[in-house]
Parts: sequence; C-alpha cells; structure tokens
Amino acid sequence: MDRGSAESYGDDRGLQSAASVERSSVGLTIAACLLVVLPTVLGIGNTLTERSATAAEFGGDGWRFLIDEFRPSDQPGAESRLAEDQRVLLAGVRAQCRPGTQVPDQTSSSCQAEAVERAAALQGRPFASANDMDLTLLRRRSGDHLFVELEDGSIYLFLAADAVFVTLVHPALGLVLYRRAPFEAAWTGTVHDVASLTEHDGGTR
Amino acid sequence: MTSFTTALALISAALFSVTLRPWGNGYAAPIAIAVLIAALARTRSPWQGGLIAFVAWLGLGIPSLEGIGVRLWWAFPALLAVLGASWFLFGALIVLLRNRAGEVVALVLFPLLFTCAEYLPSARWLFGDAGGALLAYSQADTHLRMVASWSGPSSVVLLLLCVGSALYLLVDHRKSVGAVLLGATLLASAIPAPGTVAEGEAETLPVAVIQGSQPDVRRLIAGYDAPTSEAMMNEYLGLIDAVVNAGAELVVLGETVLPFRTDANALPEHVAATLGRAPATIVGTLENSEAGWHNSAFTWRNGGLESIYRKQALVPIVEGSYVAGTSSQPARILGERIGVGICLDSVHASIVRSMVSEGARMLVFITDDTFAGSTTTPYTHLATAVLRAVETARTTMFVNESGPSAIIDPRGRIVGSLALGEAGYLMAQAELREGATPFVLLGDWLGLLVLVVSALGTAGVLVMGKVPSMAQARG
Repeated sequence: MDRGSAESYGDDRGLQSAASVERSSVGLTIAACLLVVLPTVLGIGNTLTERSATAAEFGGDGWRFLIDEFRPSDQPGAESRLAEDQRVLLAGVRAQCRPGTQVPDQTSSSCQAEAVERAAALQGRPFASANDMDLTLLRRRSGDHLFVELEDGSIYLFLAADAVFVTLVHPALGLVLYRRAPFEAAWTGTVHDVASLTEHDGGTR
Repeated sequence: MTSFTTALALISAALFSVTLRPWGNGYAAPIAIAVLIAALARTRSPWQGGLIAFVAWLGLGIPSLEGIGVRLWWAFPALLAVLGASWFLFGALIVLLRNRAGEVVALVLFPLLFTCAEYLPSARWLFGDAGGALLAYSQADTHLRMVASWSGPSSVVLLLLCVGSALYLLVDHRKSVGAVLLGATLLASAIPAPGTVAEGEAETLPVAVIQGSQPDVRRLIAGYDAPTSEAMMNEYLGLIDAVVNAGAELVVLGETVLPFRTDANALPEHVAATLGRAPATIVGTLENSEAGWHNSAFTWRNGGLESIYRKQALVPIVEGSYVAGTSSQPARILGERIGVGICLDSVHASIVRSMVSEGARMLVFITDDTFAGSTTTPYTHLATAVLRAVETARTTMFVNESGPSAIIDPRGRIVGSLALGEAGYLMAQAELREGATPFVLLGDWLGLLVLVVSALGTAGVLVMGKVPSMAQARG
C-alpha cells in the first residue's frame, strides 16, 4: 500500500509500511545510481590521469618549460616585448594545456591556414612548406591529442613532445611560430619572433 | 512517479550496466528486464513510462558510450539522448496500450515493442553510422548469444525480453504462465541454426594478433622523429618475430600502429622490414585516392602495402573529413577470402553480413580504442565482434591496438584475449568456414517481422479501444 492509499483509509500500519518502503527506496535509488555512474566516473578519471602521465613522459615537462620560459614575470626582458594578448595566451596555456582536448576542425583549419599565410608574409619565409608539411593532413591526423583549445576559444597550439615540432596560432594576431629544431634553441628564437611579429602586426589587434 | 518506482527504474539501469561492465555478467539482463516491467506496471502515465524506460536504458548507454565522452565530451550526452529516445517512446507506448487494453495485452506486446526499440536505432538507413542497439551485446558472454545466427541482434533481444518477461510473471504469482514461457524460450535458444556447424573437417589457418599498446603520443612523435619511429617499430618487430617463429602465417596489427604520417607508398626501410617479416600481414593506415582520404586496411604484398579495404562506417564528426568505402568484398590473402572491417564497422551487422555473403571465410576487425582509455567502451566494442562471429559463424579476430584484443571462434567463444593496455600477442589455428547462417542469407528478418507485427498489434489496440481483461472475459 502506498502512502496516499494508507492516508485515505486511515490505516496506521499501512502508513508505517509506506514510510518504510520510501526509506528503502531512497537507499536503493542511491545504491543504483552509484552502481551505474561510479564506474563511469572512475573510468574517465583514470583515463585522464593516465593521459597526464603520458603527457609528462612524452614532453609534458618540456611543455611546462616552454610555458615557464614564456611567462613574463620570469622573463622581465620578454615582458616588455610581449603584448597583453600574449600574457593572456600564456595564462590560458598554463590553465588549459592538457592532452585530449579537441579543437573544432573547421575553426582550426581556417585559423591555421590564414595564420600561416599571414605569418609567412610577415616574416618573408614559408613556414609551412619549409618542412614539407601538408597542413591538411596534419590537422586530420593530429586531431586526437595535440591541438589545444584555450579558454577564449581563439588560440590553438600544436605540440609534439620535446618540441620536435611546434605550431602556435593566434587567429586574432595572425601569429604562427613553426619550428623543427631542438627545443631550447627553438624557444629562444620563438620569443624573439613573437615580439617582432607583434610589433609588425600591431594594427590588427 | 513514486520513490519506489524511481528506485525500480534505477535498479533496472544498474543491472543493465552490470551486463556490460568487464567485471559484470550478461545473465543480469533478464532480471533487469523483469524489474523494468515491474516499474512500468506501477505507472499509468505514458510520460512516466517513457521516462522509466529511458532511465533503465541509461544502464546500457552509459557504460557503452562513456569512452566517447573522453574524446568529445558533448557527444556523450547527445548520443545518450538520441539512442535512448526509442526506449522512451516505446516505454510510453506500452503504458498507453496497457491503459487502453489491459495488462495481458501489454505483457504480450512488451517483448515485441522493445525488440522494435532496439531494431530501429540499429538500422543504418535510419540512424546512419552513429546508430546502434546495445541490448544484444549484453549477451556476448551468455548462452543466449547463440541465437544471433538466426536473425542477428533482434533474435537475441526478443529471446532475452521473453526470458525477462517470464521472470516477471514467475515473481508476480503467475507461475505457470511464467514457467511455460521460460521453458519455451530456453528451448528455442537451444535449437542450432543451419550453417553454424562445420561440415567435415574444417580447414585452418595459423593466425596471430599483435597488440602493441603503444601510447598514441609516441606513435605521433614517431612520425617526426626517426629514432623514436625505429624504436617503436622494433617493438612490433619483436612481437612479429615471436609469432612467425611459432608458425603464424597471417599476422594482424591494429588500426593505427604505423608512425604518424606514414605514406603507404613510401615506407621507411625499418617500417617495411617490420611489415614484410610475416608471410602475410594486415595493418591499417590512411589511404589517399582521387575521392579523398580513406581510413583503410592494407596487406603487405610484393614489397609494398596494398589497400584491401576502406572503412565504411565512419565515426561521425571525428572522421567527417574522410571518404567512406562502399565495398564489402573480402580480401584475398594467402589464397583465402578474409572479410576485413575497421573500428565502427563491427557495430553494424549489415556490413559484416555483406562480407560473408560475398564469400569471407574468416573475419578480421582492426581498431584503436586508445581514445576511450580505461572506460568500458572498448569492452562493448569487443562484444560487437563476438555477436558478429556468431551471426556469421566465422572465426573473428578483433585487434585493438590498446586492447582488449581477442580471437573468437565461430560460436562466439573467446579462445584467447589480451587485456586493456597489455602489449603482447595471441595465436590460434583459425577455422575457415564456408556456409551461410539464416542471418547471412536473410539479414535481420525477425526484427522486420516484429516491427510489422507490433505496428499491426498497436494499431489494432488503438483502433479497437479497450479490450476486456482475462478476468472480465471469464466473468
């Protein structure tokens, strides 16, 4: 007998029984929910933890180093050269850089193509073709893990481990840094490139 | 909806989820169905009926699809909503029919309507490559899977729903009806389908499955860094050498084992050396044709990779830029006809049926579920291969780069498997079968039949209005 029927018949025993069923129901509901959801939470949690560990093993440290090098407070000299946008960018990278983040294909495609074009024009050197890179193929094949979308959705980075290869795209600024060189050497140059490109491209912001 | 009814719906969901988890068991499914019927019996609101059925279905949907959430978070709830909609609709319908025609009619229609709820989402013409029913895969580890050779997933689902209904009747003090239904169902499940038993001594082929379990980041780096590429391929070479020395003739590697950006037409020397080591090798990589990029399977032939299959069921959105293949023709390898599928192809029984119709004597599925990490999704993927093996009565090799991988015999028994994340190999004498099961000959005829009967029955009840209950009829 449910609570409504028991009340309408004035059945005390029925009311007690209904209350007992309701109490049991709450317990059963919680237990069932946990049985369905908890393994999912654990599975996804474990996966993300494993991914972080993999990222650390295959370049996560390098990536953090890269970010640290870029942090204006750590590099007073660089700070004066970096615009506000780059600082936002770096903060975003710090917060968001993790494997497994997806970038919408269309956005990354158009951003990357446009940015590569503009950066190549600015610097007078063909970034993409320098390494015989087919950007279309790159976008398709690397979609799983190496694109990173930042909080504002406007900045994308491609990173392969120990900086064998780095692409950094900022659609609003039209920046692309593209390197295929040892990490440290590439990065020194990159800081300089960012600054010079920003100076050249100041009017677009 | 009372708290007890809510609890019943969730208990049903919990039991369904147990059937798909790697630590669970498919025999929990009939109990889940009985509990679902009990929950539906406690409401008179079609909306609540729909909600109850949907909640119960989440027990199947959440474990199966959770891995997609790791890859594309919003696709997880979206797929749950889309694929669970059929259970919502048929849950609402069964309550509506019970309100109009009484409990007996509803109990008779329950297995039929919920078979439709599973049949419709699995129809590729309706839901495309994203479609797929899940209930049948819960039976990959039970005896009921054997009926898949009659009519694919629908035969498993219908029998399972009958067993669940029988359990409900037994508990609901209608023991004789329940016992008869249970007995009849179990008897029906024991009838062997034609084409499932080998005639005479079957030919065999020594096959091996290689599961590298390489981190995908390493595979990507290998595309840019020669030492990393060589080190990685050396690990595969070690595994291939081991199986070749043990007598394997056909070696199957995963969908994405080659280093990132490997051009099938210009293989680096160390990659070619690895792939050419065995008498025959199957491996997956990208293929560029005039039509565009394909996700393809290749075999090593005459010193190079030769395309043997283009993936037909592309993953929506993620593989949106690829061009789907259209041929199910088996590949000729070592003189044998082998049906090859990639990743999502194994979810669609109709694709695999075409391969066997066109002469495949064995099936090979290559995939890479690394994206799903340690969720339950890769195990459900393996369960799809088990059903495909039973439906077609073919030895099936399921090769998942990150695991689990398995060799499955024509009766759906896993004769060897590698765990998630484990690097290693499997070997077996794979039985090469001829012959066709009723499913291979006729497709999912039972699903279509049940759909028609359900539509007629539902229309009849709705048109004729209230049908007298058994008690009223007797009085």
